[in-house]
Amino acid sequence: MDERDSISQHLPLKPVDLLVLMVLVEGDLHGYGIVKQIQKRSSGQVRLLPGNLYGVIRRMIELGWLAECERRAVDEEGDQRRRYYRITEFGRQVAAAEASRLRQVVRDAEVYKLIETEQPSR
Amino acid sequence: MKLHPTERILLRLYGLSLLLYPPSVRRRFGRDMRELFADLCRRERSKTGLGRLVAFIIRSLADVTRTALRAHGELMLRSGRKAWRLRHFSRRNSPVSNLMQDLRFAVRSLKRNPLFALVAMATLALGIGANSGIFSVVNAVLLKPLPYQDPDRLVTVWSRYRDTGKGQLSPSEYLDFRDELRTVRGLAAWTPLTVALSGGKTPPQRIVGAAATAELFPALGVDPLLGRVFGQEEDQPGKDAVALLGETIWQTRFGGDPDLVGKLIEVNGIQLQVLGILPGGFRLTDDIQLGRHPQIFVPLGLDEASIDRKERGWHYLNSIGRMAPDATEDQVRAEVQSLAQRFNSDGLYPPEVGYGAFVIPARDEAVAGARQGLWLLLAAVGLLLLIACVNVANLMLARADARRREIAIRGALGAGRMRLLRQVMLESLVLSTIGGVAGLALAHAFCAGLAAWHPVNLPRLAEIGLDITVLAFTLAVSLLAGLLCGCAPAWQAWRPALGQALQEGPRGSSSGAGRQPVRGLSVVAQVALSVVLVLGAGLMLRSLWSILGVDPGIKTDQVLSWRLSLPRARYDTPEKAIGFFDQLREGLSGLPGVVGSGAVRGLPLTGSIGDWDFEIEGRPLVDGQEPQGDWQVATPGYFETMQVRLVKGRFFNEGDRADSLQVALVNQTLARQYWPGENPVGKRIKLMAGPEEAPWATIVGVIGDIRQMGLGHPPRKEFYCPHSQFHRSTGITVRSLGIVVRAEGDLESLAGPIRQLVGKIDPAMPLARLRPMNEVLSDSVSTSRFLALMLAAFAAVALALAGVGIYGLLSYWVSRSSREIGIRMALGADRRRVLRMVVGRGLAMALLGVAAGTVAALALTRFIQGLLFQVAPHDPITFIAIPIVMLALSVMASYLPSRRATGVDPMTALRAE
Repeated sequence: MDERDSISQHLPLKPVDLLVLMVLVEGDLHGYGIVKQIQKRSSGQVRLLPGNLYGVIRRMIELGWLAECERRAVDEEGDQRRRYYRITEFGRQVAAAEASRLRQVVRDAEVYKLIETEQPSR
Repeated sequence: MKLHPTERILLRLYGLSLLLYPPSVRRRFGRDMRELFADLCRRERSKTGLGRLVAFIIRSLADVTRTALRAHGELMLRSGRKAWRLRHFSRRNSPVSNLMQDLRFAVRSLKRNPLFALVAMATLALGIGANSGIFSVVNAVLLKPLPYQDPDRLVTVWSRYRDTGKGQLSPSEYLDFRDELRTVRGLAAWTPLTVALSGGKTPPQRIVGAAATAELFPALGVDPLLGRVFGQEEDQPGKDAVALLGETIWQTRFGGDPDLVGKLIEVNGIQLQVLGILPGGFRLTDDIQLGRHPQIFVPLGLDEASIDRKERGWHYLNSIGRMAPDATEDQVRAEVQSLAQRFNSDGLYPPEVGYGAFVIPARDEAVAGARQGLWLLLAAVGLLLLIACVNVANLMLARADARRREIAIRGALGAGRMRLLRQVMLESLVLSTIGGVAGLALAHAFCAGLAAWHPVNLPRLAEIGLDITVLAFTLAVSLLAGLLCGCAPAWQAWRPALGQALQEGPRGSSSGAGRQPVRGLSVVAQVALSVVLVLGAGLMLRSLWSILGVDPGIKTDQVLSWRLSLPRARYDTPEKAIGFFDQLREGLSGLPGVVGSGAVRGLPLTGSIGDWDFEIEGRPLVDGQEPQGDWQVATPGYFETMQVRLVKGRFFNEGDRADSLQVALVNQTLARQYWPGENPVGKRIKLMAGPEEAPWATIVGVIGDIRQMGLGHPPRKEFYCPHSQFHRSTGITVRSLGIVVRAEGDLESLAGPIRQLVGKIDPAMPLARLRPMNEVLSDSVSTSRFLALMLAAFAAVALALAGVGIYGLLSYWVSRSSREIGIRMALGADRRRVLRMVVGRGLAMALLGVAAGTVAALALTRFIQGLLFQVAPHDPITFIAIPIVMLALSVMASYLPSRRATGVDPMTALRAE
């Protein structure tokens, strides 16, 4: 199975998977950081609870999309060390593939006049 | 980062819930998940209220359950179904899945025996429910902090006299304490008041509140909702035409108008400017104690310059102050005491009065009187829970006996002792948890009942309810009950005689060797605990009985009462005030069914009214030993309406006018003290501190004693002046009187005509709630009645449980001993002998229990001495009657099983072997 196939078999991604991958593209985060970022990105719509989040993380580590980093100190609370998570190259490819797939979905919707074509702003 | 205690508990709880995950997942992510939960928890708490936090926790727990199930599922899929089964049902598997398996087993085995489960749960629900219910009262009344900033640093200062005990401060005493105390910053003072709020389109309204010094609000650390509180500049005579209103009256009367601040309102006919609105729950310590909801605060306006610091009379001020930052309670106590000593050595008080001063922390002052009774109730429900636990333990022992073979077989198949023990404990915990949930429902009903029916005058009654503290308490009590119930059966499971149980065959041996002593002992303990509880309840009931037997000195049937206060502004002369009450009485006597009416300054049974010194004609005045008595002011008709006993002479009549002969009445207690063996009628007295030209008043009658402070308080010395003459003796016009009306027929139907009548005389006059005097009488004993009835209810449950305990054990014994009984009967024992044997066993246990309980009660009842009225804590009647009742009950409980024993057919019993 070449890499392209192994990526496409995971598509489409669950929305929450894509969100987690995307916020990690910006940089490594610990659990609370991921929750905060996702909540910010979704304007408060998506609120992850610990069981759910670590279920997703566990699955994505097993799939090789994420990796654990060393525990390190959290900036604002220097006395505590948290485990950070980092997106792998493979994870980045999966997320990108999902994003491209979504772009195609949007284009199709425009073709069928389901939604109007968005004019690129100048 | 520091964790809030609640958060620490929540985090612990969450950590426990993680046990639901497969161990591999938990090991890898458990710590991270706990950390994330703590972060989220902290955020939810900082941002939002308790409700949101609770919702968040419930969602989190649901999240854990859901994802844990999924993780198990994934693991199961991965390792294949068969492997999963093997792992989870073999003996060497993870503790968690073992636990789940045992839990399922416990629930199953309880389901198999629904009657047992139901009885055990109901028993525990009663025990736990009683505990949660009483605890929620204790929590609201005694444990929740007062609604002030840092309330534990607040203290109140009081005067004390040898004769009268605790007393309020006089203005001069207050100023001395305020100025001189170093350990208390800015002592504040206030006096409660009742005013008429009028003006606007709404009818006038009576509201309660306080006149306070400017120190009050800074001392309590209470901020207004709107506007500002009054300061020193307003707290001066002449500048004090300002008021603060409570949130409730602001909402109900002024529609929550935010522009009310700065406007004028009419209070007692005077215009006051509204400075601010206080938060709804704001109450002072005496309001909390008496269940009042004050809605207006005005400056006290003490004229400090004109107060003679040597004049120590006129005690009407409450005080409260905040301890200086570095001061301790002991230091404040010592300083107040040494100041009082200095006042004495300065000669401010005659030595005979035995003046002193003392400190009460605000938290104690606010709930004074309720504390001891509530702790007593909590102790009583604690006993009740113990009894319930012993009862359930006994049931479980009986069941374990019946299941000995099952347990033995499980043991023989390799179940470890720990596993068997845990099994028993889990069953007991499942029972107590379900019992706890049902108990919580009972407690909720109890709280709702208290709020709806108001069976008692408790401070802070409105705050009673189930909150997080009560929930935590119930959880703890339920777990404790589960552990207690499981102890004895678990111990038994710990030492199973495997071989013996297997040999015995399905019916078991005749004696159940080794178990009877445990169970017998538990019944003895149950009886002993019940005896303690019933003896306590018996004493309280006896005490209630003797309080209710007290003659109040008045006849309260068919009497309606209410209080009326005339505003000084419109009734500025004594004549106007007297005229109003004359007019009112005349109008009242014209109403249908009314047979009498009158008015008095202090209505009986409603509390202290204060004393006044007087001079007796022909006796020299000794400084500090002036005759004194509680002063009353009454109108003609009052004594007849209340049916007060006339001992000598006459009551007041319409001929006693301002310009006629000055007269007075005294009660028997006062007559006995100042004219022992003499007839006071015709003697003359003069009130002290009156105007120069004040005339002597001739005593025209002696009346029977009336219980002014309540049935439980002894009568005090009292004298009465006619309302129409009082201003001539003292220069003071009494504008606030309690009105009483005696009527035939339905009292309720009088309310409308009375309202119309008052409105006709003065349309601006508010009318407080009309109360039947019977209700006043009943309220005055509400605390004693509440305590006695609650205890009696708990005692009745305890008695029933103890009876069931004896009955259950003996029935069980009879059914297990049918072989022994059969042999005895076959050998010639007659029915009576068998009967005696069984009843004898029951009685022996009961005797032991009663003896132990009585001894324990003799040691314990002295703690409730303060709650008893004319009953000794070792009251012989109670201590003889209740053990007898208990023994009689146990004979009854043993008789039923013994009847069954005599029904044993020797042949059947022997053949069954």
